[in-house]
Amino acid sequence: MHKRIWSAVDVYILLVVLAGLFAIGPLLLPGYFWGAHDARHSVYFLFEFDRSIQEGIWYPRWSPDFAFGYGYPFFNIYAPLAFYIGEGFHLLGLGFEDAVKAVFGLALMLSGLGMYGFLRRPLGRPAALLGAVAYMYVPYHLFDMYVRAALAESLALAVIPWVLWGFHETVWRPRFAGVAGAGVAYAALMLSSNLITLLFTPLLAVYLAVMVISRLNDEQPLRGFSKESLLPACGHLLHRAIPPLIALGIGLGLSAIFWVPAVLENRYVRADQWLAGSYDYHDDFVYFFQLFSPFWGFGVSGAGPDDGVGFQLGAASLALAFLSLLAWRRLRSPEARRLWAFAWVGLAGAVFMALPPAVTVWERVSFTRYAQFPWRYFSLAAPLLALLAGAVLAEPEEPAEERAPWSRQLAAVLLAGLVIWGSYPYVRAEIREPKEGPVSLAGLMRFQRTANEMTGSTIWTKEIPQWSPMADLFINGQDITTRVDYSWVPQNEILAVDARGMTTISEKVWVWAADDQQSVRFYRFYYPGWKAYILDEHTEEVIAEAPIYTTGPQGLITVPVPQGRHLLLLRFEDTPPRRAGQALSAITLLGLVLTALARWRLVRGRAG
Amino acid sequence: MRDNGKLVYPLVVVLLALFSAAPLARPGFPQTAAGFRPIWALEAFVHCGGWPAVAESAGPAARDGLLPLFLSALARWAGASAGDAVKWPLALTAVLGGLFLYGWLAGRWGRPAALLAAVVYTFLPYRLAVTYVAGGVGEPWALALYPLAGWTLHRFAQRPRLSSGVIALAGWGLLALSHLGLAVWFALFAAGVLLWRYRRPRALLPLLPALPLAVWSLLAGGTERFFDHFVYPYQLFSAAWSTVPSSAGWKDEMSFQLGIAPLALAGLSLFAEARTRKARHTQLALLFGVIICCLLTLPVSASLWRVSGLHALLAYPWQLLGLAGLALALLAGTLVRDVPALARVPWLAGLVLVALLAVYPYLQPAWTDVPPPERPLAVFGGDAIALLDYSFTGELAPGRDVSLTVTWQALDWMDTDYTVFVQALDAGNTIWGQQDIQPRGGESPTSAWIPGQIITDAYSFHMKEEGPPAGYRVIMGFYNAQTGERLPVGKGDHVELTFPRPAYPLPWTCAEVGQ
Repeated sequence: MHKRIWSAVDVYILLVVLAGLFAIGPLLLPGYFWGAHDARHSVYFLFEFDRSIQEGIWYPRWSPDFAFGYGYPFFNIYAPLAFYIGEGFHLLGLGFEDAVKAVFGLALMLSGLGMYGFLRRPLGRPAALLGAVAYMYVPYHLFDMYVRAALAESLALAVIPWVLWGFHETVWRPRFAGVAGAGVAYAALMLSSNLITLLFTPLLAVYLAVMVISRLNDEQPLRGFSKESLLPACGHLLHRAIPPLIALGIGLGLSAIFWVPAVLENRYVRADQWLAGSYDYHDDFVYFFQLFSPFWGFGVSGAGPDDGVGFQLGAASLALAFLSLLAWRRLRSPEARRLWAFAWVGLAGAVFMALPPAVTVWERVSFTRYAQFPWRYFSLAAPLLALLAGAVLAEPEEPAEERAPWSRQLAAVLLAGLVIWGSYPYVRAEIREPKEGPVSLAGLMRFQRTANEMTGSTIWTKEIPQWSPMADLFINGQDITTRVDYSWVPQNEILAVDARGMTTISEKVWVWAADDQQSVRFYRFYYPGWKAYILDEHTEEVIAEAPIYTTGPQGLITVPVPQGRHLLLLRFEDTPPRRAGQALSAITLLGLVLTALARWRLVRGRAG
Repeated sequence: MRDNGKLVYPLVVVLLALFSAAPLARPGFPQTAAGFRPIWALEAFVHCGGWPAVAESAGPAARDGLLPLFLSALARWAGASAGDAVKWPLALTAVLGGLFLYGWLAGRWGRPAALLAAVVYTFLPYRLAVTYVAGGVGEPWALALYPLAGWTLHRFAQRPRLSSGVIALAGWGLLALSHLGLAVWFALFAAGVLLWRYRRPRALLPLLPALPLAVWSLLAGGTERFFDHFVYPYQLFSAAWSTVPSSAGWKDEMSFQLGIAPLALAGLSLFAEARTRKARHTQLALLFGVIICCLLTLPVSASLWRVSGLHALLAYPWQLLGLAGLALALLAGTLVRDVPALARVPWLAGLVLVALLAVYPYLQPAWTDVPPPERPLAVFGGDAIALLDYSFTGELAPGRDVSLTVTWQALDWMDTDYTVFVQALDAGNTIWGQQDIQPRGGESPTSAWIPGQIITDAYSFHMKEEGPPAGYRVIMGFYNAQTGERLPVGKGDHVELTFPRPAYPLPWTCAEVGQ
């Protein structure tokens, strides 16, 4: 029995997890690395996410307390998966900081496991183990975790190998599980970081094109191509391309709930403050020597060669990638060889995009600027580097499922150990006390004040606020019962306003107006989705939808009210793009579940 | 093992050498003991075909040779800046050393063994220390050319033909053109090995020119400071690494470690079963070479050096560590040669990683972003402090304040805390404004200056009201506050600063340069 259980367990998976434990060691320390670049962001994003979830909003889009309480449609344009996972940990009893740390830890482990799964078949288990360890310990990965504390990007790095694995399967072993898995992984990537998805998708497209053509070439050599074979070749191409295309469709469909409104409504938020000043990409190109430099730091990236952070590719991984040149002929299959060759070309391209000579590409191809920082292209380089590192152990002698010779298994463990040794000095976090005090609304206000360039606003905001009356209340530990701007209400008998209730995305007020010229202003930024209704005072039935206009330099929601006594309801609702996205996601999910059920029944029927 | 093609292994050697060469791709210039001397030497060479006096800090055999200077001049003529023209050939040494060693061994011991030896040699801590801590250009080139000279001599010893003899002579000649003293020492060791291995004095023919050159060097004599720089045994095995250049005595912070990876791999190779008796003898000879080289760097060998006069060939005894390193790299290569299982890619990769990761933290040299001038404006104390730049603010007029910002570069260690003086004089040498102060108000005494370090300092003085309306000049210098003795500069004891400072560049005038 024991033997059966043991043989069912892939020991290499345990080794991947074991190796990952060293990398997540600093997460097990008490406290939190509050000084890391986005450490506060990650915690307070989760804090706001939790506020909405606690109110029963299962897909939060509006974060009510951002921008000093004026609110911001943060999760309408920012991928939420990391925060769903973090919220899960929080609901299980972890504090916000610990929940964020748990997501980081989980992401790192998932990244290793995904890379192992991806490489296991084409390169063999020992090579996959080495690749997985190399991926977990690529310095950029550690940089994302401990120096930048970039939660969304760390999760995206974890998902990338799963996407590669899934799509690889759709080309080489197109089955339902592979296609569905690839789709789900792609959706997870989109829901982890839309930015990384944008960067990664062209690479994925090239990867798929190379793999499909390679597969095609294996089955119908292009060398013997003739006029007569054109039509069959096209049909064959389509046949091979359909599974990955379906997977892509599933991925886009599942994640439509996020990306459809994000794409269509992104233009309603201001982004100028994130593209200028310290965010000017011209200052963030990586110098060639930095790719090889052992320097590591917790500072920031800036102009010139003296960045406060390290941009090395990783001595061990890069050296192994170089050494993989010695092993490429030993790669067992054309599939593995093409993977190896693709990884080299992709790595060169990704690294090039981070170097100063790529400035022309950045300036001329607007798409490339989505990366924001040139070194962000290392997120594409990292998995390719890990793949190449793993290739050192690939050997042709035996099929993947058989046990590798003990010498190669031992070599895999030793090389994995060396990879860990190479990155071990960088596995550290700067644990600090939070300057803003405990995680709270007051802390959120203090955080926003010290990171004011990060204050989000909508295009109706002409002047980004530096503080607010609500922030004063939060700092004093007081609750906010209404976001009605009472300073807007005239001190006479023309208008009377009484707040009757508020949630994070709605507010109900009783209003009496002496004439039709009155309006009520709220301390809320306007954004599509905000709707105002005039309700009957007694029955609370909707009488009419009231128009909304914005006033003041901050573009605050202002609603004209009719003469008389009414209730005014202000509510953040779904817009057509949001509804379309939700519908698309629901249909895709339903289709996927039904197909899986049908397939399960079919398989069971056959077995019966 | 399957043949992976002739080009792949050398390509891997080159790619791995990028780790060693990459720091030189950084903008600016490394902060080494040599300071900006290599740049000044290059500029003097380019403009006047000679060395400036400031670059002549050692005997003729121990100085940087002509080869690196020629290569830098080529880069200069190709349009590189002076700094880049010095750095590019240096980066080349990082690649060439391993490549030559690979070429030497690949046909004899197999490619994997050659690869490991090349990588170990590329990442020798001593080679990194020479390039990034000691500075200079001659020795890095000599270290890169040792394997080439060894390769060509070996070839001639095996096939003594005229063509191979000429090639061997050229190989050693290039070495001699890089650093004459090291080339003579190499010839001594090579002669010993060749005689022992082939027992044919004819094999030594290409090394004949070393003899008169050695005699000439010995006659020129060495410097006494050589004897202050012996290595203490613990330093050979110490894990310490520093970017501070060598200083006299046991507190020397410069690393002289042989390297944990080369030592471990060489040590393991001795346990491997050699293929032949001759192969075992080669190993023992290499080990003997390492021991001899190391012994000669220790204080116990001082009298030997003094009696023989061989110290005239080198600036420091520890320069023999390069030869020891070469022998260690060769020994490391024999490990893979004698244990075929280690030639398999996974194991070879592991050994290569060990060699790289053991020194990887050292690949972070001290750096300066101060633009190197084509020449120093003045050099104080013989070869101790260079004045790189200065600028004035204010007006040289009665009742006015004048500020002066100065950029110094330390060129050597100093025992004394010198005081800087700045004086505004009239035509009759009457002082109308002055400041006497230790650098940075005493916070950066000259005794704490590290060779190669850039020190930017500011001085200011008030012009007396009763002075003449114009006709002032400003002089500056250093003096010992205990004795009042000033540091010499050129033929005087102060430097005169033009007010305002003349526009750059100020190239060497050929009269200043030794032809």
